[in-house]
Amino acid sequence: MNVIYWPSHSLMRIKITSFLLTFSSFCAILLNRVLHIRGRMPEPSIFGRFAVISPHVFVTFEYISPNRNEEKHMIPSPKSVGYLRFKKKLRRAALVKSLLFGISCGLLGASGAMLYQKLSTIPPSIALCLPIGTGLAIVISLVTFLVLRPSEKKIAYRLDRDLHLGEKVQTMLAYQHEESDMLTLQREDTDAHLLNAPKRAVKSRYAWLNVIAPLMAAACLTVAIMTPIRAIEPPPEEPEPPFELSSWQEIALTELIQKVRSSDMEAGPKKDTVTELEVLLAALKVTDKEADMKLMVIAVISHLNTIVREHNSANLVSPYLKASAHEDLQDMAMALDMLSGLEVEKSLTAAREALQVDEVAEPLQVYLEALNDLILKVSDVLPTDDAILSVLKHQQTSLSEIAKVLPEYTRDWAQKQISDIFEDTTEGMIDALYIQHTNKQVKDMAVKSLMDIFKISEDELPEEEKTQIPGEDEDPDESKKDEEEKGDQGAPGEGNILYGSDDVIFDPVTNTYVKYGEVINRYFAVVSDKLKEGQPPESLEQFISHYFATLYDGSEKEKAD
Amino acid sequence: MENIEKVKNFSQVVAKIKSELKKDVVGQEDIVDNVIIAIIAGGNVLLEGVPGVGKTRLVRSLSHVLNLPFSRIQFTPDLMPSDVTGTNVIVRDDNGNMKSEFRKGPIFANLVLADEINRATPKTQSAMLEVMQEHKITVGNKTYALEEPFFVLATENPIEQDGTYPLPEAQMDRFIFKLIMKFPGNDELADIVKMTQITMAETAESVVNGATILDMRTLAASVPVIDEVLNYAVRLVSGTHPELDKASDTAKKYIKYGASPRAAQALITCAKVRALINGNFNVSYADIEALAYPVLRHRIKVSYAAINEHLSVDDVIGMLLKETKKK
Repeated sequence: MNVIYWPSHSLMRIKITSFLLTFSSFCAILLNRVLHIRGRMPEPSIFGRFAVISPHVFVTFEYISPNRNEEKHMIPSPKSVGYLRFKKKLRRAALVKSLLFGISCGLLGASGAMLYQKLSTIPPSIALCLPIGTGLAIVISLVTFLVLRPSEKKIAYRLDRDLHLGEKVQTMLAYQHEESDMLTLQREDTDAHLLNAPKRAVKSRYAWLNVIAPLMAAACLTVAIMTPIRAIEPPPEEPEPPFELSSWQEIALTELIQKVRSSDMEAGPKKDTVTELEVLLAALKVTDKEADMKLMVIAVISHLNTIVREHNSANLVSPYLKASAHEDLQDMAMALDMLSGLEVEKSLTAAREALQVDEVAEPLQVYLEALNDLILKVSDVLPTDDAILSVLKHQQTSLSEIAKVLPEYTRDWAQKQISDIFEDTTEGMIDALYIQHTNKQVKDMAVKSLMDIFKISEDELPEEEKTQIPGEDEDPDESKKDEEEKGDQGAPGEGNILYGSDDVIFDPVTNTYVKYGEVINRYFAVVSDKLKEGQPPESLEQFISHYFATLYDGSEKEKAD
Repeated sequence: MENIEKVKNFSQVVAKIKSELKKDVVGQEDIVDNVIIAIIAGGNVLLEGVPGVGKTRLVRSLSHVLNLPFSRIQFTPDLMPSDVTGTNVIVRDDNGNMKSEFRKGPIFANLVLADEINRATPKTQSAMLEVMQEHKITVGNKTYALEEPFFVLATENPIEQDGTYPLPEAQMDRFIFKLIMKFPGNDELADIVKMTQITMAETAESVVNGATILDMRTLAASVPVIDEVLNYAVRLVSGTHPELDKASDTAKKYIKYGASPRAAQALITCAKVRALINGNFNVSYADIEALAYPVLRHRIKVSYAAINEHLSVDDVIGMLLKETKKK
């Protein structure tokens, strides 16, 4: 017996609800997948997936409910041959229509996914479009068939309408449980009409959609395939900020050139530095873009650093000192790095004291060997007239002579000679370092001025050009060290480090080391006179006043302490 | 089996009745069909038509075909109820004694033509209509049943309205159909003249009898009708009531009073007969639509808006049919 369940009203609601839930949950899962690929949505949680699936579990349970057989609306299929003939045809038509509709939707879905990817500048992925299209096709075909599949009542209605049977088939269906002479006649009459009716008399509604829909879907897919991937548009270029050398900047740069020219920098690097600055000034007068200006200034800064670095031989000697076998010579490397005469004196004093022993021959020999080795290596990288090399050679020569005649003379005499030699060496080194220190000071001043005038931050400088400008220690722990150990003095800065009154600096006027606290007043007075005469530019005037005021306050504070 | 044969022969019997009636009644095929339907359904018909269109001839010919006694009652304003139903009279018996004897009125027939019923007084009308409804007469304390099938065809003269007593709606409701007999066309009139030049007497022969009609009535009652069609008839009748929520727009605008539940009963009963007459064994929407006019036209009172727009009752019924959905 062919039993087909007749959907009750509530079951029709369940069917419709199930269809809507299925379709919407499929769309939701699909959308989540696409957005997850693009990184805009996380994977759905287990709870989210359960929430999507659970309604379908409920519907499935309803379908397999054992009470289904006892529904009063159950209508079995009539046994009429004519009726069954048309029923097969209508069910087949519904299946074909569902398949075609599902395929059309699948093609449309794949087209949509492909178009979406292309318009989102993503290369279309078959791995995404194919399952979308296939899944949509299958789901929609199934659901459409469930919806479109004609029930017995619908079949009866269609037959009565299309074959103009005047509700014969519907009556036959409704009264198929009952028996009477009239009903027997009615069934026979209906069956006879159905058998005599041509199959083609029952036409499929909107049959043209079966052709049009897939064609349109295929056309959409073709369009999607032929659509090119949208190119990523580059962000609109921001207009470069313009640059025009202001009068103040020109004056400041000119003043800087004058300052360098009148400084105590050595002639060679001074000439090169002035040339760089003059070329920069000329170039900036014709530059109209800020980016170009910054490039030029940064390039000049780099050149200035190179000039001084290559000229100051202390940088070149220091590595060899560090590699020396003698501990005292290693200590001198730090002093050279800092260009500190005080540190040099300390290290040489330590070396001298190491030789103040009863048996001086052996330590002297060791020292001489290390010194000879140093001089040999340094001679390859320094010019012969280099001051530091000359001092080292002089020490080497003198100590060698002492070593030769050491057995002939007393210990005291040897010690006196060695002490004198070390004093000479100290003076020579201090002299050499002073000059190099001056070079660095002027260079640092020029660099700082350039950065201030043209508003270039330290971050804009290349890594190798980020020099340690006095007063701007990067290591906060450095600021806690004893001021005497720092050694860097006198360069113009923002006054972050207050130099103590007892710090010793080299006074070029008297050619001696003096305490800073003793000369600061003199310096401030000179500067004040110059400020009053109106020589520096206004911005520098304020900067200088603040600088010395900070130093003066720090000095007075130390005195009070 | 016998019943199956009777059902199969139903339409043939009706066809025979029609063919015999055609011998005496020219044209008016719709009227003839509906009269036959009404007789088989067990209802009464109100016929409206101008004089001379063949109302009496139809009923008389029908009585010949159905082999049923026929009587004609001409209603006048002075007609008394007892003139219709009969009365007790004093008669002398064979022994010479005086006794009361009931003399049956003209109503005691199977087919009754109540001519110009609207000319009778309401009292006489009521007596007549009561008989139509009950199929029995009570005189004194005795009840006399009328022989089945009992069919009344009442007529109304639409021309002479002076001195008439129009039937109230409650009384009109007792008629299963109201048929309008139109003036025959030229061809039909020519045929009538030719036919009546030969003889004025009815020439139709008897083909069935009362028992056959009763059998046919029983058979028709067993014709199946599906719920959709039945509900359609119900919706059609409900749609005539403007006071209801689900009333159609036509009803709200053009109908003052709607049809009674008897209209729905009449629709289904007569639709079953019509289906069998047409050789169908089930009631269809077409049967309901075809019978909507005769069933509803005397049960609906149109509003002033319809009168103002020159809309007849039939026009309004047509609009109702269009508005009422089949499913």
